[in-house]
Amino acid sequence: MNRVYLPELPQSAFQPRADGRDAGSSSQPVGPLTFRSSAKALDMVLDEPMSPFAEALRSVKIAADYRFGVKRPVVIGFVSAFPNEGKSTTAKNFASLDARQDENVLLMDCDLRNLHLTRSLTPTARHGLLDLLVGGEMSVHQALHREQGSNLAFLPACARGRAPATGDVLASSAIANLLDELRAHFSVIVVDLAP
Amino acid sequence: MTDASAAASFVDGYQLVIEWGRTRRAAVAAALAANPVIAARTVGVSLSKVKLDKLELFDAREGYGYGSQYMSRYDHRTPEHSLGVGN
Repeated sequence: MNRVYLPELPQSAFQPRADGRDAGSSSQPVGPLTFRSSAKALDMVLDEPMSPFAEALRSVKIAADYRFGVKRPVVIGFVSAFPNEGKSTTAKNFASLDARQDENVLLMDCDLRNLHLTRSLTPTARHGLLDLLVGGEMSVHQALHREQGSNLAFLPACARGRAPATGDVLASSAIANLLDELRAHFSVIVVDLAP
Repeated sequence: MTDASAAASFVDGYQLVIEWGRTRRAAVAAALAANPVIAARTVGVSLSKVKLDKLELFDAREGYGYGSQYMSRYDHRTPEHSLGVGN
């Protein structure tokens, strides 16, 4: 079993960015939806690629590459035993690292008990995973957001204020069908799961 | 980890994230025992929020790549940290 030590990040990395560009500020009602992380911690592998954290995360990726080889598409779930263990930060950085290496990567917020990634990446999202699961006319691409300056795609869990759902959503045939559709568009799908 | 187990129908492999120095070994073992599908498909374990200075107190050199003390070998701006050279 591969084991990687991820260094602790300074508290400042979790503060909102000081450069005045808020997450979601450039989301437009028309045209492709975009996003930018609200805090540096979520972009560590991009902003500080030589940091010990980024180096350690590369080890996580190499281990995953070793396990899955050239198999694509591949769906990787990030999970922890308790809340606040650093799972979402690790998942976002893992997805960014993959996206930087020419993979077509989708990051999905499936932590329906704590919508950390949705809040941090797309606080103004109007649609998300839950909207796609209820059926209807909506296409996947209407709910996807692209990261500014990278090729990473993100699917929020749901719009702000929606009641979080529980595990039965993740066990549904609707989400299995959605994943079948997403596998046709992406080579790596990174899923943030609830503890 | 109930939700994560429920996702097993579409997840190929799990990455387990554990907070270093805080989450108890027994608690992780119990969670994995209760969710065998996750245990069977876990491809990697990340210990998060590691304090590198304290990590060196333990025998934990394997697998965390180029930690700070190794990176200094490549940083020529700080020759006083280049281990064993010129000292």
